Amino acid sequence: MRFLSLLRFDIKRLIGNGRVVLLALLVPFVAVLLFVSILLPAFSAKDGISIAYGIVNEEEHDLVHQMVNLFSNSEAISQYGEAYPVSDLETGVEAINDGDLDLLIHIPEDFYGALMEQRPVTIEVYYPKKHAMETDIIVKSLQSCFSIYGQSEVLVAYAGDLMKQKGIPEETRLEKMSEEYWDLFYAQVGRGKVLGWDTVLSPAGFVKYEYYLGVVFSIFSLFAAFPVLYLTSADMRERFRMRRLCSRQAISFYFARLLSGSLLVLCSFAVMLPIAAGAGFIKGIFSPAFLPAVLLTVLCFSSLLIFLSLLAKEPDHGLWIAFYVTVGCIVFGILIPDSAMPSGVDEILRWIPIRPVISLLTNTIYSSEDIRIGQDFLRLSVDTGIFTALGALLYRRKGEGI
Amino acid sequence: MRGQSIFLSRFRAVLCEVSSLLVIFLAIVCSIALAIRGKELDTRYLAVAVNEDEGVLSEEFLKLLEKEPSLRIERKDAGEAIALFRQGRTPCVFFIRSDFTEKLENGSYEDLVGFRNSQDSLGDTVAAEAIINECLRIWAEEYIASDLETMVSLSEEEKQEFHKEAERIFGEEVSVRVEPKALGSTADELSEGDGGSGSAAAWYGILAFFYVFIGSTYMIRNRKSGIYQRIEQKGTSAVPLVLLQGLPLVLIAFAGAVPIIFLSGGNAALLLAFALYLIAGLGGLLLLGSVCGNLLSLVFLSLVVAGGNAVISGLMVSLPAWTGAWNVIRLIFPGTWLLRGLSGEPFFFGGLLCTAFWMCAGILTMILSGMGKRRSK
Repeated sequence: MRFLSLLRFDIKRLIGNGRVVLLALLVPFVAVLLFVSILLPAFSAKDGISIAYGIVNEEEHDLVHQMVNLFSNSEAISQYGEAYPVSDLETGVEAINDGDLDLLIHIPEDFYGALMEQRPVTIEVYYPKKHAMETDIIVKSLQSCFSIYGQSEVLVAYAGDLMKQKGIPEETRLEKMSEEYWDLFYAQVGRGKVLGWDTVLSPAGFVKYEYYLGVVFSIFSLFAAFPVLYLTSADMRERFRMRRLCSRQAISFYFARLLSGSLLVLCSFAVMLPIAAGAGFIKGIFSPAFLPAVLLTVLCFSSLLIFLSLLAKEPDHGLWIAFYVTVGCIVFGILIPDSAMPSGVDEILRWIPIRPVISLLTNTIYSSEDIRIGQDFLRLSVDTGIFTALGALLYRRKGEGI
Repeated sequence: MRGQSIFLSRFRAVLCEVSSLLVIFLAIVCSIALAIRGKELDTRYLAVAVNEDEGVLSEEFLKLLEKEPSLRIERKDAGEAIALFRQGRTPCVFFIRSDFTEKLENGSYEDLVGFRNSQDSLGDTVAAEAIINECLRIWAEEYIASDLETMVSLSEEEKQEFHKEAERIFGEEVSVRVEPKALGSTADELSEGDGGSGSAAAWYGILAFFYVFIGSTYMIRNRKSGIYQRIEQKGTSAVPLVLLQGLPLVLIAFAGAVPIIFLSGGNAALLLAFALYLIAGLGGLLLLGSVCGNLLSLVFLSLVVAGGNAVISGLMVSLPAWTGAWNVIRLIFPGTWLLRGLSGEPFFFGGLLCTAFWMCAGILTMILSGMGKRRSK
């Protein structure tokens, strides 16, 4: 049988089994769909939403009034909606229930006093569940703002006291303090500028979907290769037992299986990528290295699972081995951080296939740092080379030896 | 008597099934290790610093960053830092600009630090937030101090006193808290995900569920051998037999939970939460065992159901407040009620209903799928 006919035959066996293909593609499909549905509300908010939010300011201090105005008009918040002053909490809650307001920020009485004396004080943000996402943005923005800002204000007050002791006229002193408050506030609303970024309040505080998407792609494309293992284990038991193969035939069989397996894994990407792209998680900023990265990934996973299937005598045992190896890859490649590992072990863990795959996929999809790609390609190529060589060797031995 | 012998023989068989028993064994070992040694694990993210500034403020900034509990800062020169970054040993490298001190002393906070990050870790976001906070803290202190000096003349002692006071203020806990409050639903519903996530017991719960599901291989074997067909031909239902045979899996998983719960500082109420959770798992076992024809499909579907339970219920990761509909859907996942138990919230009635739902779903699927019929190949 010529190699191409063999390949066609193998693809028919693997992909032709509708139920197996359905299962192999159903798992990544469900996983990405779940991921997208969880993160979509927050993600779509980045592109601009408009909400009406009320502010109940029970603090009489002028500075807090001015601060609220500035906060409402800041670039960070104004892109999400418009602020409306509300007289009291009850009216605000009623407006939310009537659908006139989307959420309500409540600044309590004696807020300024508590801030200055560093007593615990709580700003409440009321919202209906349908606006939970916007609330999260507002809450994060407010929290970032007050973490350093609140403390800085206390220091301004301390400096003000010193000025008073030194006999600075009251008017000049208050003017200076007010100027400082504003400058501190402007710094907080443009905090990304510290890193040279033109961003909102908390540039790093948002959900890092890029990483999670890379994790989902990696794990579930590996699971999609499980049918390859099952079929290979079954072949070892049945087809190879029926007839002896010469070395060349066995090797041809092996590569046909490797390629058909890769095709199945590739199909899982064909399922996952459009869902993620359709939901706006991928916006077409692919690095040119993306396609080679995907191809190397599918080859690596396919060769890994073929190799594992050759270690077992029964298809079910092969499946268990693959399951434990996959769990090991996830635990040591994703869940346990490098820093928790003894020196030396962490270096070995970097070669576990799933880690370079996550790195390659995230960095080539979002094209942030090309500098990392070379090292990841090297690691994944070495892994693929080892699994392929061992797999081919075992395939030949088992094919001849029966 | 007959039921007892079926149960005992199945119990012995479960203890001899090394492949699936390894799941629960690893779950117990890892969870106990996590419960005992979890707090000692160094889970800090590595961030590599390149200090291009020779001023005093960059040194102060690095010292502040080194106190960050979530970060491990290593100081390197530019070449070494880039090499580490390229090799994937650090998620981010930050360059303290050569004019860092000068800019801060002049009251500017823009572009103080250069930041290179990759997308394949969560560590860079943690580092970026800490870097911004510490820079703004130093900037605020310098800015206020220099403003003060333009207004009044301060003795060396007063200057030192000012900086000491600044250290005290910034060293204290942030006093302002921003609290989201949902209208039209209970507030605790929003925060329930925070309690037990990441704990040893939660992780054990995730793995134990998978163990119970994957244990339904006996249903596939029995169906293939025609046992259920023979039972139903005699006019009796196969459901009690399947339940009896599944019970040892639940008991083994429950036995594993006992030491983990107590090592994690849990109480007897948690045992009840775990019992309800695992009985719901038995319902899942019936469901999966009824629809799967071979181990491959069982592994796939077990992953989907056990993984879905782990994510949606919040056992694996706390779902953000804005996940909307998932906050309602999660109520039918047993993990939600286990998590409530782990968080010290009321769980019993909800957990009981959820368990009943899963058991009914399992038994109904089993009946509808015609367990007594032998599947054609």
